[in-house]
Amino acid sequence: MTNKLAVFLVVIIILIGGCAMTQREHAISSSPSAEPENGARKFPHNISAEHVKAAFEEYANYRLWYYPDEHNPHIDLQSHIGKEINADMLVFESDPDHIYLRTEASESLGIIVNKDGFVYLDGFVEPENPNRLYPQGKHAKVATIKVKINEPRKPNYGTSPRKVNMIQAAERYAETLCKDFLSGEESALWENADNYILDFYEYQDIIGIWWIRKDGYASTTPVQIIENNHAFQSHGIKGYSIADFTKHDELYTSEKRFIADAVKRMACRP
Amino acid sequence: MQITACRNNALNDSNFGKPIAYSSNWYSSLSDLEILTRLLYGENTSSNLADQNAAAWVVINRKLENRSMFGGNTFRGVATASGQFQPITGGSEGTRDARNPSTSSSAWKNALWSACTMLTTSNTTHYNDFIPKPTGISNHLYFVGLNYFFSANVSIDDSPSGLKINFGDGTYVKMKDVVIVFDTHSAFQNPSSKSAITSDSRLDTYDERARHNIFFNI
Repeated sequence: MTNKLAVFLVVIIILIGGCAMTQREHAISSSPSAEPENGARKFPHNISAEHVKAAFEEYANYRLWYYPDEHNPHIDLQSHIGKEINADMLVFESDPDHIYLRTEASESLGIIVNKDGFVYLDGFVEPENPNRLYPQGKHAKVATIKVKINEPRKPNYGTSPRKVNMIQAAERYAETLCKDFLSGEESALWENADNYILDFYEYQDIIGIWWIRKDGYASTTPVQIIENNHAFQSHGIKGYSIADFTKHDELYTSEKRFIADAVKRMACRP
Repeated sequence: MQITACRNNALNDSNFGKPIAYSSNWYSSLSDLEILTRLLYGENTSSNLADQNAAAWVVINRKLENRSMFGGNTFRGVATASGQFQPITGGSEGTRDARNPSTSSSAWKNALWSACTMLTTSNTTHYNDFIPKPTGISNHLYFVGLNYFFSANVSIDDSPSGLKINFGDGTYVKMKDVVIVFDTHSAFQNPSSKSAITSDSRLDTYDERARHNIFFNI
């Protein structure tokens, strides 16, 4: 690839990321009107039904893509592939900071989060779970949406200039680890180990990093990215290792799919 | 107060917490205080300090148990027992955070405070006073990282309810008193199955689980 072409592609990627940001901000300003269901006040959040629909679709796709065999006690996504699910957007007086999603497919409620403009479905809560407070009391129905559960595909993690900076911070961290591994007693084992930075949603602050050594040993060394005055710092998080990672095709399917979808691949070389 | 003095002395010591290259005995020349601090930090470097405190209680409980497999009745013995705490006796990557700590982080300072407490007193009441025991944590002796717990062949459901864990020998052992710590007063206790954990909205993604260990007895 020539340098000019590379620069052109980077510019296009940044422009696409910029457009996505603009669309998201525009959509946030167009929330639908709320109809109180139990006499509660109107929903105060600046989130649209389109956001919630997209968040539910992305959540369902993510679960089906990385955890196809998962038994989800809240909602059976597998059996809904190719079908539509109706869902009400609710806000409760007991938890006015969140939108909840009540689907026809489950008694559990989905939790919608708006973090710095990124709207996503942060899982479900069930009425009987003593470890998690289920919202109680008066609530308002903000809107009803229909969500089609499609065949899973690689998640749409999105891109932006900020995300590029986060990836670069993760790369710098991986390079530091590589130098450390190559300077210690086990250096020969780490030479030419493949290194993968997993893709991520921008609202996440912990990024997965995997290392696969030539002897089949693999290790994940997550990194937390902390933004401070527009600078991105990295902070190691506890991971784990797998001795026989490449020796069993049938095992570690989720890990292998995450690695296949990595946003960056490098090698650990002296 | 002795614990505060211990912490301040360590924070003012430029050699305390400095980077160390990997070798199989990289920790051998360190003081008991520095080994304990690096251990606790390595077990949870995130902002989930309550989880790190739970790890400190496992170290305390193991010392009080005084079993040879746990390293006997000294904190140094417990911390350095072979194959027990990855941040100390693991390989290059397992020890990386303990060898290269971020000494300005809240996780490091919290680990240092706990280590100072453990070495300043042997009174369990004092431990309780200065290392807040998270909800659900009592006499726990085991924990593993939550993402590791969900890796292949590490854990299975125990019918009709509960969990079993494989310590690496292929045998699954029933887990008791299971706790996942969110903060000092909030925990997920005794999940009925693995899916009960992975479907919890606070634990259903890799990055959320990365901040947690899972504590238990057998």
